[in-house]
Amino acid sequence: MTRYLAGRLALTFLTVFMALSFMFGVLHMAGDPVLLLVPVDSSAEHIERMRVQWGFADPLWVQYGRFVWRACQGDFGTSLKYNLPALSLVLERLPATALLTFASILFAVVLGLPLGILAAVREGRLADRLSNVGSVLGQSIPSFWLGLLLILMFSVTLGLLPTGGMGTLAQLVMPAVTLGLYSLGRVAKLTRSSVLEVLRADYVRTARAKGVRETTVLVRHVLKNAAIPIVTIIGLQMSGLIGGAIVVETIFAWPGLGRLIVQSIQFRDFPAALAAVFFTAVTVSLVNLLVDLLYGFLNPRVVHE
Amino acid sequence: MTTKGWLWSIALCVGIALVGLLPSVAQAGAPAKVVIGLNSDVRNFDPINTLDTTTDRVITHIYEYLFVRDLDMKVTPLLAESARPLDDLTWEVKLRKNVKFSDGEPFNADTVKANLEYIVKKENNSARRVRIDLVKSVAVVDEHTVRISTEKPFPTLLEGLTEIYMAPTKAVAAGPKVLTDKPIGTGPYKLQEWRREQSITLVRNDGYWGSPPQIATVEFRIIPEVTARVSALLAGEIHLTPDVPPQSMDQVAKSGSTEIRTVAGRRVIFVAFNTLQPGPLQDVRVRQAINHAADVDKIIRTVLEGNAKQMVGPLSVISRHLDPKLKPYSADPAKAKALLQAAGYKGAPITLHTPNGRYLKDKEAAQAIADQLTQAGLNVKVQVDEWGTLLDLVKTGKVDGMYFFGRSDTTLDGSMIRDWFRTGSTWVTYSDGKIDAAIDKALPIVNPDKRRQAFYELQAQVQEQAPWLFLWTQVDIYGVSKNLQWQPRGDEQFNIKAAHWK
Amino acid sequence: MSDARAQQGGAVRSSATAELGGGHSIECRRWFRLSGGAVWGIAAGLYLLAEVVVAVGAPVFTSANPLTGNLEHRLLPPGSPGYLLGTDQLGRDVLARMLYGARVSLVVGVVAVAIAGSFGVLVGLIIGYRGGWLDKIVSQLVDAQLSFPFMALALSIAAVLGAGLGGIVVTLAISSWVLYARLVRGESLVMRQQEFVEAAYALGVPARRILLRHVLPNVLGPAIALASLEAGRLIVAESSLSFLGYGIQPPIPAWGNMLAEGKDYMARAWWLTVLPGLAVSLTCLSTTILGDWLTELFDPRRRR
Repeated sequence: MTRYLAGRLALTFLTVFMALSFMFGVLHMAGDPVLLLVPVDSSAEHIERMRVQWGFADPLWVQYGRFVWRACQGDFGTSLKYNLPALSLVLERLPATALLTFASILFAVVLGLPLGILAAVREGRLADRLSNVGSVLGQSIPSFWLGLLLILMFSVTLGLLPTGGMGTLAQLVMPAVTLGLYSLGRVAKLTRSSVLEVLRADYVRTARAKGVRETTVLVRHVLKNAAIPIVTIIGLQMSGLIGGAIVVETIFAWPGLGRLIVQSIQFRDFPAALAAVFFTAVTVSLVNLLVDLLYGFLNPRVVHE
Repeated sequence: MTTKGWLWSIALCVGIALVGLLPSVAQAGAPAKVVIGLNSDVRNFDPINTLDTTTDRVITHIYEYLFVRDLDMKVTPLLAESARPLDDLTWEVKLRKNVKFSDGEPFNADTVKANLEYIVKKENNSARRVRIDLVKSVAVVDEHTVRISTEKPFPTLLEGLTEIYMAPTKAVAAGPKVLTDKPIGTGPYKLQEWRREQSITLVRNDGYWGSPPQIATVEFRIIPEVTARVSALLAGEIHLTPDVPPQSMDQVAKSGSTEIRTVAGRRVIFVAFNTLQPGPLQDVRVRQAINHAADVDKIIRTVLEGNAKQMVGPLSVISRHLDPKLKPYSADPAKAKALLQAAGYKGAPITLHTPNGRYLKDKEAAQAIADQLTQAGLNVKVQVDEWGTLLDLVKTGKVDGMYFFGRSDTTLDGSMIRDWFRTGSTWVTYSDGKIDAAIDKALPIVNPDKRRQAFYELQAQVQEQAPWLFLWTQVDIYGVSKNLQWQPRGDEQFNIKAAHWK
Repeated sequence: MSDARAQQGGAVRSSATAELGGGHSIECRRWFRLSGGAVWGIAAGLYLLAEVVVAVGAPVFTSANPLTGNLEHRLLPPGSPGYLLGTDQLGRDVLARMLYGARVSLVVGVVAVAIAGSFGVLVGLIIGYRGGWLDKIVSQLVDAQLSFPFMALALSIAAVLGAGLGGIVVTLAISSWVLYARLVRGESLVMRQQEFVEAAYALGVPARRILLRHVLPNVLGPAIALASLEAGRLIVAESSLSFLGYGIQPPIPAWGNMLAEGKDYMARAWWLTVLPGLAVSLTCLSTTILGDWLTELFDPRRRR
C-alpha cells in the first residue's frame, strides 16, 4: 500500500510539473508579456527597463530554469499585476473556490440523488424520462447565459437574491446552482444506473420475497452500493468544476481561483498564472488519488497494482 | 416512500433553505456610506509605480496632488498654494501649510523633492515618469517653497503635476513598494480593508487638513460582468457605477431609484493607420478617402446611441486648444471614391484590427466602419485581437493595416500630440518630418496666445495629413442613485469628498 | 491512469446499461424498455439531422445577408416588418444569422470532434496495444492534461492561437483529445489480452493489421458514442470561449458568439440571447441524449 501511495504521489508530482511547464510555454508563446503590464503611455525605455526588472530579458531556458528552481523551494515569485507574492494571492482565493466547489457538489448530490433514485424506482415511466431530460438539460445550457438569466430573474425582477460577490449565504446560492447544474445530470444518471443495478440483484429480490419493507431494502442495500459511483463521479467532476468555475466566478464576481486563472492568462501575469495552475493541478490530482483510494476501500474487488 | 413523498420532502427542504436566506439580501448603504461598482480591481496602492485609470480612481481619495483639476477641468492648486515660472526652465511652487500624512509625517518641501526626484530618476522605473519627464531636479528653498528645474521649457508642468501623487518621504526613501497594500496619504480617506477582487473599503481620515467629507465610508465593489453590475445598481446594492453601456441607459433612467449622469470625457477614440509598412495607407489620399468614406456621425448616433462627440482633429472635445473653426471630414462616399481613384487604389486588402471590449463598443463600431468603407470601394476586413496581441503589433509597428485605438488626453492642452504622432514615440505607427517639426516648435512655447496659435496650426496640419480616421471623444456614462448629490467629471475621477446624500 | 480508474470507468459504463442487461425480464418488456430509450435517442438524432438540413439549406430559407445590416434598424424585435426574428445591435437580420450560424456552430462541433477523435483514438489504440514505456509516458501526459481544467486549457491555447474559426477548432480539439485516448486505451488493453490477438501476434501478423482488423471495430462504437456527447459539449464550449473573448471573428455568425455578444443586451433585446441560447442548448441536449443511447447500445458488457 505504501508503495502504491508513494508511486501515486510521485506521479502526481510529475503531472503537476508537466502542467506547469505547459503553462509556462503557453504564456511565452502568447506574446510579449511586458506590454500588458505597463501603462499604455509608457515610453519604450520604461518598457525595456521593466522587461529587465521582471526577468523577461533573459533567454527562455534561463527563465524556465529559474522558475523551476524557485518553484521547488515554494517561491512562485511576485505577481506582476498586484506586486504581491503570487503564492499568497492564490492561497487567498483557495477558500472561495473550495466553498463554491463544495456548495456545487452539495447541490448536485442533494438534488441529483433523489432524482436518480426516483428515476430508477419509476423506471421506464414518464417520471424517469423527464428526470433524464431535465438533468441533461442542465449540462446543455451555457453557464454564463444561465447565470445572467438567474441574476435578471432573482436579483433584478424578484429582488430575492444579491447579484454577486461573496460573504453571505445568499450570495452563494446562484453561483452554486449555476455551477452545480452541470454535475447534477451526471450524478442523477449515475445514481439511477447503480440503483437499478442493485434493484435487480438477487439478494434484493430475496429480501423483497422475504417481505422486507421497500424503504429498508432501498436504504440498506441500494444506497450503500450507490455510494461507490457517487464518490467516483465527485472525483471525476473536480476538474470540470474548477474549469466551469471560471465562467461562473466572472459572472457572479466570485473571488476564486477560476477568475484568477483567466485574468492572469489575459494579463500574462506569469507568477500568478503558474501558481494558480500549480494549485489546481495539485488539487485535482490529490482528489483523484483520494477517490481511487476510497473506491478501493469501498469495493474490495479492486486491486491496486 | 412514494414519489409524492420524495417530491414533498425535497420541496420542503428547498423552501426552508430559501426562507432562511431571504433576510440576507443586500441592503442599501447607510446614509453616510457610498458603494461604487467597478469592473476591475486596482493594481495596488503604490502611487508611484502604478498608472492606470481604475487604480487612480480609488487612490485619489487617499493620496493628493500638488495641483488638481476642478469641475471645469481647470488646473487649481491643492497641496500647493501657488506656482509661478521664474524663467523658462524654473518654476517656483509654494506649498500649503499644516498638512500631515495619515501617519503623522508632515508634508513639506522635502516631501515634494523626494517624490519628484524619485519619479524622474530613470533607474527607479516609475510608471509616472512619463507625465513629468522634463523635470530635472527640485531644490528646497524653505519648508514650504520649492524650485523645480526642467531640462527644456515645460509649459505644461502643472498639468503633469495633476497626475503625480505625494507619498510620505519615509516611504519614498524605503522604496514605494511598502505602500503596495498599506497606503499612507494626505487625502480625505484612509484604507480600511482591501479584499482583493472583491472590495476596497475607505473610511474618513479624521486628520485631514481640509473640510471633512460628508460621506464617511466609501466601498468599491468589483463586479466585472456589466449586466451584473447594472443589475446591482438597479437592485440598490451599489449607488454609483461608471461605464453604463448605452443600451442599458433606459433601464437605469426609468427605474425610479436611479438615474443617468453623463459628461464629455477626455478619451479620444480613433482608427490609427500604420504608415510604417508599405501599403495603400502610405498615400495621404487613401487616408483622407477613408475619413470621407466613414460616416462617423451615423455610427455615434446608432451604435453609441449618441454617447460620443465627433472629433474634428486629433484633440479631445474638452481640450482648451481645440480650434472651434476647424470642420470635421464630411461623410462623402463619392469624394472618397474620387480620392481612391486619384491615388490609384486597386482594391488591396486592408485589415482593421480591433480589441474586444477595451473601449466602448469597439468591436461593433469597427464592423460598422468596415461596412461603410467597403461601400465606398475599399477592401476592408475586420480582425478582433486580444488586447495583448494588439499592443504587441502596435508597439513593434507590425500592424498590417489599421487599428481601433484610444488614448487619454490627460493634459487637455494638446501636448499629448507628441505621444500620439511624433516619430519615435513608442505607440506611434506614423512618421512625418513636417509634423515632427511643427510639434517640436509648438510644445515649448510658453506665451499662451502664441501657444494657442501654434496648436491651431498643428491641428489643422495633422487633420489634413490624416494619420488617423478621426472618430470621437467618449461621453462617460454613469449610473447613480437618485439621492446621491454627485457630479461626474471629465477626468474620470469620482471625487467622493465632494459628494453627499440628499 | 490507474487500472483501478479504468475499471471504475468500466463499472460506470456497465451500471449505465444495467437495465438492458437484465435477462430475467420477459421479452416484450425488454423490447419496450429498449424502445423507450431508443425513441428518445432516435428523436434526438432526427432533430440534429433537421438542424443540419436547415443549416445547409440556409440560402433557401432566407435571402438576407447575415454579415451586414442597416444601422438605422438596430435592435428590432421579432415580428418587425421584414425581420422575422428581429435584428441585432448592428441591424443584421437575426434569422439569417441563426441559419448561417448553424453552419458555423455545427461545423465547429463536428470538425473539432473529428480531429480530437481521430487523434485520440489512434493514440489510445497504439499505447493500449504496445504498453510498456510508451504507454507509461503518454498516459502520464494524458493524466497531466486531464488535471488541467478544460476551460483554463482552452483559454491558454486560444491565447496563443488567437480568435477565429481555425483557432477555435484547433483549441477545442487539443483540449479534448485525451478523452478518446483514455477510452480507447482501456479497450485496447483488454483486447491485447484476448487469446486470438495473442495468437495472431505469435503468428507474426503485423501489429497494424491486428489493430485495424480486430481492435478498432470493437473500439469504434464507444468512441462514436463519446464523440456524440463531446460534439454538444464543444458547441457549448464555443460559446464560453466567445464569452471570454476568443470567439469566431466578426462578422461571421456562430451561435456561440451571438450568445456572447447578445449578453450585454439581455434586458433590452431578449431575442439576441434566447434564440442562439436555445439553439445551443437544444443541440447539446440532443447530442447528449443521442450519445447516452449510443453508449448503452455499444456497451461492451452487452456485447460479450
